[in-house]
Amino acid sequence: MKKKILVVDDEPDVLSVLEKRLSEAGYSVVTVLGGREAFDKIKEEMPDLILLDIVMPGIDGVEIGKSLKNDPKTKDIPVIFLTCLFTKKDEEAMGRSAGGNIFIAKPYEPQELLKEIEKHLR
Amino acid sequence: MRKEGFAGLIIKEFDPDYNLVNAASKPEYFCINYIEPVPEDKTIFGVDASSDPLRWEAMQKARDSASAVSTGNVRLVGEKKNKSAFRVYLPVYVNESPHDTQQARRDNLKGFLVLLFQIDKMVESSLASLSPTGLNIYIYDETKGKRSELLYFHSSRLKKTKSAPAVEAGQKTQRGIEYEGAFDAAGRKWSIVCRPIPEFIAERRSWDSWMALFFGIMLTVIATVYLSALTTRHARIEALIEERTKDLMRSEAQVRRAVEEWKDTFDAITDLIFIQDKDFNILKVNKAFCDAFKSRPEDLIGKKCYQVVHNADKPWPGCPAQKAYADSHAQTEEVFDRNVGVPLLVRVSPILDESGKIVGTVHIATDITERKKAEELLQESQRKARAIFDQSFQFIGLMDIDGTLLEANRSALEFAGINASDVLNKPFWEGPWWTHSAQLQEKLRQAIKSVAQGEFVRFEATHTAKDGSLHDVDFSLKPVKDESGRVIYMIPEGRDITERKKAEEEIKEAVRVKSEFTSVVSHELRTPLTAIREGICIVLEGSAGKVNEEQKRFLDVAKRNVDRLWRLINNVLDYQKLDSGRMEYDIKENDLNTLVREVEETMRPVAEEKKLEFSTRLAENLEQVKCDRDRITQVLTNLVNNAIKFMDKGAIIISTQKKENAVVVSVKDTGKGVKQEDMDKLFQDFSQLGSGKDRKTGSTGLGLAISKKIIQQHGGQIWAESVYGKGSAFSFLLPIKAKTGRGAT
Repeated sequence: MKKKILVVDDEPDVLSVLEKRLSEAGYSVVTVLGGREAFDKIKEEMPDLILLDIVMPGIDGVEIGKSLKNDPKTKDIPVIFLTCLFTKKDEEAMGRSAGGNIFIAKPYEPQELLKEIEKHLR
Repeated sequence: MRKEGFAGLIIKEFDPDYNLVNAASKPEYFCINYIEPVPEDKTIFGVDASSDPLRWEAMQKARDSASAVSTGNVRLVGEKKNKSAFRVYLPVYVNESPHDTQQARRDNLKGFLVLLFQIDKMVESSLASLSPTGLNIYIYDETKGKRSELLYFHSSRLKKTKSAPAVEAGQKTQRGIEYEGAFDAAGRKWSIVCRPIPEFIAERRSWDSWMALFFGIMLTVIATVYLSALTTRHARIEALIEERTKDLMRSEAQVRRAVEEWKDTFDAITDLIFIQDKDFNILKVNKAFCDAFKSRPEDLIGKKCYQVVHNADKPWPGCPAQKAYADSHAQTEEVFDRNVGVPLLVRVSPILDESGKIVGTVHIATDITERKKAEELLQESQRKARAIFDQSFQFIGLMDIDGTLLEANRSALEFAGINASDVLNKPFWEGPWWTHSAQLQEKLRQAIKSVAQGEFVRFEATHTAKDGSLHDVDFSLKPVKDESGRVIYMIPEGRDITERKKAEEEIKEAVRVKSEFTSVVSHELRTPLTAIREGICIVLEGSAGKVNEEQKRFLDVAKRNVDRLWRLINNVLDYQKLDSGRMEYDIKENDLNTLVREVEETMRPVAEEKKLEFSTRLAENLEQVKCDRDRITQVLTNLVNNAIKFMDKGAIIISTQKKENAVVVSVKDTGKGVKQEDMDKLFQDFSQLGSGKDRKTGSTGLGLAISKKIIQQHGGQIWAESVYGKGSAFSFLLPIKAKTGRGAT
């Protein structure tokens, strides 16, 4: 049984390369473009792990993360924030979401990303 | 003597007939120069008394015996003949001390005090109360023999006797009734004889014999009484002589002492003093004056003061004496004459005669060089203080503790376009700087209250300038305290910070824009970079179909350049963070040897790819250093990376060593080194050495600049040493007790 990973990003190109990378690595991948419908989609799909972009138009990845933690149904799903670190907004987000979350900077090293995913799916 | 008022005096002497003639030249004269009471006939002054042998004899005796000696009967100049008189000479010596030898007495003789006794006047005044009628009284000078010289004869008043005393003397033994008494005085023997006249006896002849006896007794009583009167008088004369002599000596000593004291005082005064007559002739000078002009008194006295003092041939125009002559009042003036060379304070006091006319002036000159210097220093320091106060860019004032403005400097006045009189001695808050805002005025009033309690107050205010515009002002109010700590004044200060505030706002805005820009660029660059890199990686890995060798080669080129772009972005963002102080450090105890080993492990494949020798020399028992592990690794990686990049063959050694209270990490290479003139550029921003084909790809030019900032923010140092053509060594030092970096958590 393949593990299901749900990826949220506002960039279709990033979504397409990630979908290819993760499915090549043997995961079943669900991509969500943008943030608005992400929360509903997650509840609908109930993935094993979520890759979440932070800076997106309209909605903030960190807010989605918080909502997931607050919802008993989704609170146990591991979340890896995939972000363009070093931007001011990212830093603020990191401050707000302190506590147990994983951050991986974009552009990422594919092997580093896969290692981290494996770790949290175990 | 002529000086003392005897102008035209001629010394005279007695010829043998007691006529006065001009004196013959003699080594010594004993001139009469004082007579009390002053006689009408002044010819007696200047008579050489020693020219009369009788007087000279008495004078010599008096001189040698140091006691009063009387002459015999002498004649008085200007008196009728037959008047008997004697003189008592009392010697006066130069020194007061007694002179024991005759020679000393002769040597120190100064003159004689002469007391003249006219015998008839003296006796008659003595007998006035007795009125011995019928008695003849004779007084003899018996020095040269019994009754040798009759000095006085008192005739009976019963009958006018015209007979000469000699006739009486011839009768002396006829009656046998007489009384005689003798006494010594002033070196001579005297006798007094009392004898009743025949008529006196005849009148009483009819009387009983007891009457004769009674007469005898009475006569004796009368004579005794007379004698007693006379001797009393004699004693009184002796006492008078003694007293007058003592007085004279005492007063002479007093005068001498007074003169000496005055002279000492006059010469001890350090002020320059001279006395001049009204024709500017110097009469007296003190020692200080003589010293000032390097002259002796005799060189100065008699000269014109302007010759001596001003080296001029007519009165000096600035001379205060001229004014003193004009209005008869004392003058005080500061005088400076090039000839004198020092500034003087000259006080000129007029000397007036009885009629109030000026006969001369006393000049007292004080050297006021020091005072002038002090005054000039004071003025100079006041000028300086005023210049600082007025020319300061700051607005400065001085205020009473109740807020009354006492002083305002030029900057403050010019700023508001007002005059000092508009604001001084009025409440400060009513000044034009404050009146635009009641709120600000209230704030100032509160500040004044606090400062009056000794506090320092500073706040930003706005002041209205003369053109009506509002300026931002850094205002402060500081208390001025006296020695006891009491606040006596306040210093309001203001600095126009309008421009600075504007610049600060601009900088803040620029920083904000820059930060915003970097964020956007960072995000907007990284997102496409992520897609590009991952796309290339996926193709290169063959997940999207088989890739041939040539395709792989060009995809590698593409990936390498994407990575370069990625590094560049990271470096720029790092640098921006370091520069703005927003870099956060995770400071922990770290073993630098461990960090070096990790970097060695990471970098070894890269070095070996270029066939470079790569080794480490690590110090043992190295103390731990507080630092951010990732950032120091970044620095070390950068240094090793540089060494590999700029070297085609040779060796790289990373070493650690303890140096005092720090750990030094060095990366040495045997590359081509750095030219001396380029050493300074190494750590500058965006600097890359070499150009054209020397320039290595993959460098951002920010590596060393970022390393330098990281090390500095750790409280360490970074430096380079190099010998061009032989190699370089880049080292950094971290203190063992590290300062935490800025923004460290």
